Amino acid sequence: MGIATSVAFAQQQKPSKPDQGGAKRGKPTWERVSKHDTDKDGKVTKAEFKGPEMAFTRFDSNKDGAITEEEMKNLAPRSGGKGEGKGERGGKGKGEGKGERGGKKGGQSQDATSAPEVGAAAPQLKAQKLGSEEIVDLGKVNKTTVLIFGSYS
Amino acid sequence: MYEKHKDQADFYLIYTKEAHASDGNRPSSKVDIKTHTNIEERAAAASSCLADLEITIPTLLDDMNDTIAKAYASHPDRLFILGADGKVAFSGEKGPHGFNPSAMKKAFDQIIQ
Repeated sequence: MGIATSVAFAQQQKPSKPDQGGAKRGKPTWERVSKHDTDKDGKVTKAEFKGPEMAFTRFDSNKDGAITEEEMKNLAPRSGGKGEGKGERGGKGKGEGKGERGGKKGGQSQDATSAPEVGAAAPQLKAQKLGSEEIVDLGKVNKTTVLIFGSYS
Repeated sequence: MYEKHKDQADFYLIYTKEAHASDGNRPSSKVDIKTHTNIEERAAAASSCLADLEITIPTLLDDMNDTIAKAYASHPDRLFILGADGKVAFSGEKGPHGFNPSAMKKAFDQIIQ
């Protein structure tokens, strides 16, 4: 989903929920987990997954916030509840505050597995305004700033 | 929201790589935009988007390394509010299903009070 839906969503919300048709017992499989893949992008995000949080944490072995078929195939046998209790987003404390990065300059490709949390300093990044030479420094805002990420498709 | 509050806050659309590029694994059924291969293509896609949807919100382009999207773990879409102190004041859930403009607006209203 992209900006079209994003903009439309300004007036509405509450996406439909997927079926939770999977059995609650037995070996977890991609076939079961994929039923939560409501946008059919080939992975199940934390927002899509309607099972227990501990299950999500277990299945998302690389902690990037999404379960893939590959992860389900390589799932290690359960070794007793992990219960990491990650809260809203997996990978707390990862990919944050890594210092100056020039978005415009195409610097280090920092793969944050989780978004910056409330209270954290905004990532030190700059971006060029569309249709202008102006560079906006998102790391040095001095006014409330709303960021809407997306694309047309 | 933008029109109502643009004097109180800055708003930016950050245009990123396509969520459903037409040459990708899961092409969009609504728009036909290929994976951007350079910043000019990204700019063109963004311009089409703004024109077609009549969006007036100032738009920034993520670079071809998707640096900003990665730093914010924003793909495919996500909402944030940065406070005047330069810190994250609201960090929305990842879209599409976590994308919640109402929650963001609620946070925004509290911030600008």
